[in-house]
Amino acid sequence: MKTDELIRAMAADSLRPRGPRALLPAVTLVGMLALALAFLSVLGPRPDLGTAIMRLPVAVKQAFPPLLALAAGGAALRLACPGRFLGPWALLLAAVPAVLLLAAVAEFLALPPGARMPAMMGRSSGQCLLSIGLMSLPLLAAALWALRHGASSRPGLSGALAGLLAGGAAAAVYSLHCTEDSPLFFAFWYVLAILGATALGALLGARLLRW
Amino acid sequence: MGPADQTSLEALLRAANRGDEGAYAAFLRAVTPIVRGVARARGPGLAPEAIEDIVQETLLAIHQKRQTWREDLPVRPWLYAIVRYKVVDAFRARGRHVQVPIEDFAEVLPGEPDADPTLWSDAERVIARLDPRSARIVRAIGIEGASIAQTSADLQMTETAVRVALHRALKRLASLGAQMIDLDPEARTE
Repeated sequence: MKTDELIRAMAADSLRPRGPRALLPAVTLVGMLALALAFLSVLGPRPDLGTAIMRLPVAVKQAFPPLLALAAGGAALRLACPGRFLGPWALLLAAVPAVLLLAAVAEFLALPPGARMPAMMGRSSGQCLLSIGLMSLPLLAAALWALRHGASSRPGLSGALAGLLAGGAAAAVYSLHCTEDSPLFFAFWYVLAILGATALGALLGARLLRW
Repeated sequence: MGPADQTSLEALLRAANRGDEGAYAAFLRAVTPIVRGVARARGPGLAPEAIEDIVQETLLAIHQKRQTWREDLPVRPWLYAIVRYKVVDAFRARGRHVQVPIEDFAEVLPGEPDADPTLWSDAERVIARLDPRSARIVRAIGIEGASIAQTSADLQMTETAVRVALHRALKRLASLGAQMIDLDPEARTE
């Protein structure tokens, strides 16, 4: 087949493929909503959510996972367009961990030495890792599916961003239930679970996001 | 390659996005020499058929990913990024490693096709792996230049069914093309 003939066949194909720009936010929000309904119907939200959130550490705990997910999603969508890189999303991606680190350091300094380790270990680290890890899996699958409609020239990096989005979104759901409010706890265990999803996303993305 | 040309690429692709098939064909014809120039500059030892295989793989990729161009942005950076990715990918699949620095695009002269009709040997092999009806649709519209309406009459299908079949066949061509190269990199290097 000559190139001109291929062009003729392509020009006759008037069905527009879907892009990831609408798909990624849609599948992520629907996934989060479904997971929140399922998860909270079993374990329930923390009873004092409305008042607790007025305290700064709790506000940080509630805000950082969705912000991380937003930054990762925005960056992944930009990267899915050939010729574009992370852009301003990189700033938010860097700012969120910086705030977390600041909160953890402040907590570390505020606590007496003997109270630091118990605060970090908490009482629910296993449940935290398991819940965020499991909830991030369907979200990661959905994000990778949506990003396959894009064209990233860095499939591994895009996969990692999909994992960060999935982990952040899963942590956002989990945080509605969790009563561990020490920054030492969530800056360690939440981040550990989110990093697990990020690593899995990088591995999968390197294969699945090639085109 | 002046600003006028750049305006026209955006105008063509924008019109194509509004369903103008002629503008889309013109866009693809306008980018073909750019793609060919880069492929040729990267693989000076490759036979013209092999270069044209890469050109066609890249055009199929542009076709599959055309929705990732944002209309408020210039076409060229988007286009060059796709070409760079697919040309590097094509050479990698053929067991060669190449770098395609961005400066290439400034230096490379748009490539005219080599003397003879640029046959895509791969295309025939890949089309042969489609189901017979899809293969017939691609050949009828591409090679014989039939319209969607004619093809639907010939094959006793609705026009919508022909459009969907063509869309799926091209998508499959794009993914099969890459797969088949992965299967036998040796056969393709010379």
